[in-house]
Amino acid sequence: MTEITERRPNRAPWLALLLALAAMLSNGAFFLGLPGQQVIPWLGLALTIAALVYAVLGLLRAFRQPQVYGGKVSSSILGVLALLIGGLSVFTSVHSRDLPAAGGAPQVGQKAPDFTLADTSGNKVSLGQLLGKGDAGNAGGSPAGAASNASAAAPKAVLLVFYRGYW
Amino acid sequence: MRPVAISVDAPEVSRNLAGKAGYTFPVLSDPQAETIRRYNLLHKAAGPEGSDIARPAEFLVDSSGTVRWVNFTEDIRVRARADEMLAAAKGIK
Repeated sequence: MTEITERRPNRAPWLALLLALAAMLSNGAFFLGLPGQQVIPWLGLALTIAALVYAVLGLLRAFRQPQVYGGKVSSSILGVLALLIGGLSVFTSVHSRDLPAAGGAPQVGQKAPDFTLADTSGNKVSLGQLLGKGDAGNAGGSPAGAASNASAAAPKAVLLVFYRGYW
Repeated sequence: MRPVAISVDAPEVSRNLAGKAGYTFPVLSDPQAETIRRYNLLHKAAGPEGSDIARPAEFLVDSSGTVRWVNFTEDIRVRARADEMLAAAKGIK
């Protein structure tokens, strides 16, 4: 007497792959500049964890209950793929947060250290100039670009944006 | 409010970027990271071939040269949004 077991589809490995891809694609959401964007890294991490859980579930089903679930080969391949993509997501996440502390940087209420740097035309521009103060030192008039902007009407404030470069 | 961007990129590189992106605000070059160091924002060996670059940071400086608002992200993917910076600037008379 043989027991007839009902075969069920093993969708978990596919779900694992989809979740891992979603985790990777969630990085694209940073370019949308959405409010609450600081939750995106955690969303990506949660999606990655979910992907790994489903990958393990898919493998357990395929190997422990082969009479019910098929897909020993497919769940293995998809599991490895989900692991690779998930691993890449985790690596990106860890790397993105690997920043030096900014405790020594100027804080609110402190004076912003002065500087003189070249603009895109090679003209030297100082913070004082940008703030609209003491432009007299800029002999030779104000060439095109930042220097001419700097000698225009003084702004209420200057927003200094330090970025990593190499875009 | 006058936005000013600063990175270790050479002026030619910044000109390229500003041209492509259509930036009309000053984009300044600090190739030796002197200003970046002065602001304590150096991210050692984080650039290509182990070069030093800036950690991302934003400062709103009023006309007296005083810092009025700062943003130091903990994740390079999360940056200050334009409306946050505009809101901070609105508070400055």
